Amino acid sequence: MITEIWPIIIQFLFGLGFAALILTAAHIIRPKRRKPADSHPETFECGIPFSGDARGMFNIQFYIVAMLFILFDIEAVFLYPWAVSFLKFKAIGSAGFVLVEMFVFLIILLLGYFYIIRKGALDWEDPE
Amino acid sequence: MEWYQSEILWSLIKILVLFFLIITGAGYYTLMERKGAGYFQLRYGPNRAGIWGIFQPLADGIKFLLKQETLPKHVDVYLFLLAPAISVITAVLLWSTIPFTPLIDLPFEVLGKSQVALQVLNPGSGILLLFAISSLSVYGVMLAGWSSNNKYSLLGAVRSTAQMISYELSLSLSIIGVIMMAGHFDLYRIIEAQNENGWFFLSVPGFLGFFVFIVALFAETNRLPFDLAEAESELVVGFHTEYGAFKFALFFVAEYMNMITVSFLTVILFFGGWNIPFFLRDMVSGMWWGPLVGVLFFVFKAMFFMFLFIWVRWSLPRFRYDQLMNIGWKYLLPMALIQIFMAGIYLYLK
Repeated sequence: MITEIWPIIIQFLFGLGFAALILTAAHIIRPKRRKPADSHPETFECGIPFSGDARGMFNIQFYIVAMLFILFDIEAVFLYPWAVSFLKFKAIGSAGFVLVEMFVFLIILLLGYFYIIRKGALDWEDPE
Repeated sequence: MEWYQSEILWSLIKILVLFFLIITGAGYYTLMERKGAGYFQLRYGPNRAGIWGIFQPLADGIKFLLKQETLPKHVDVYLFLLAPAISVITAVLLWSTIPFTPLIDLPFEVLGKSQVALQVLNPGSGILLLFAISSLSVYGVMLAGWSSNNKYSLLGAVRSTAQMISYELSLSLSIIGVIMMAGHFDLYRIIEAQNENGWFFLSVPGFLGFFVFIVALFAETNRLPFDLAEAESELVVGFHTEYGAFKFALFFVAEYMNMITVSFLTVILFFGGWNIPFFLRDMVSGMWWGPLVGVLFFVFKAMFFMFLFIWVRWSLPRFRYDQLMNIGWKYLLPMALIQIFMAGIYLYLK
């Protein structure tokens, strides 16, 4: 069984090659005889003329979600090595200890979680 | 060394075979979706291109190739072209770690081994690699929305990014029970562990984990009832509004390839991969075609989940955005944490 990770480089190059090939092919094959209307490459805005720039301000809530995601995802990453070695700890008879350790970790995590909920960081505007 | 004993050649062959299978599968998945949509709505669906519309995917592909190509005026050209490429590259990379078959006996030796599995690479950390790659697919969506410089695209992309990262959390937590029971990140060994102990779906933590997993999966692949990214009635089609011709087709193909991959992943994690149920296992054990029967079961189980995507899409309405975020953060995340508690206690008592 192959244990090294190097074939993923081939796979990556393959994906890149496929995307590049197909975009180039579409570029070569496309019909060229008729020119599109002048309005064709305008930004689409449901038929009305395009106004202003799209990159304005948007809801702060999205930033908060992104930050919370990073926090919780790191916690999830900490859980992985624990999960994968649980059976090995059980085999040497220290499953109870490891279990309590993780419960302490999870309870601290839950404290933070309830704090965010109480602060209303996850409350989205309800239109009703 | 003979020329055909090169490892690079053999992994390239595997990649090509799998790519051919999956791209054809993705094509016919779109047909299945449209046929399914037709029958759910009491109409026929595509039935002009060949019998039962069997050439429809081919016709679609040719149509995409022959479309006029436009580059909208206000876009960032490089990012605009890079975004569909990122989507399709992550979709291709995603199936690199999936073991599609068990080890199959070969009549000849390859690289000093007489057994081979249809799996491009088998790192010990298979599932970690898989999740790492799947989180990269957010970039395709985000860059597409940003570079289009279109209000609908940007809104769709921002919504979709927030949704994908929120549900990714529950997704990665929901499989902790499975990893604990298997004791491995290696997808091959996760299946082997289910060979011995039965499907993880039938155990207590696996059962709970499965429901969190499948809901998060629908949100990750941007499918209804969570397709807020492309809510047609409000955002045109969301992040790929400005894309046309084959640039759009790449997003489309990537989406369907992802759905095929995650269907297989669901079967691997919770439904025992190529396990053969009941007495059938004893009947085929020891036969050289035994593994092939297993692969057949594997594909059928995965096809059930592919059908589930279509079934749910045409049966449920879309959620509102605040409901979507509430489900992700206030229901799924605690459920995933409870599942970890339960998995710990279950394994401790067992």
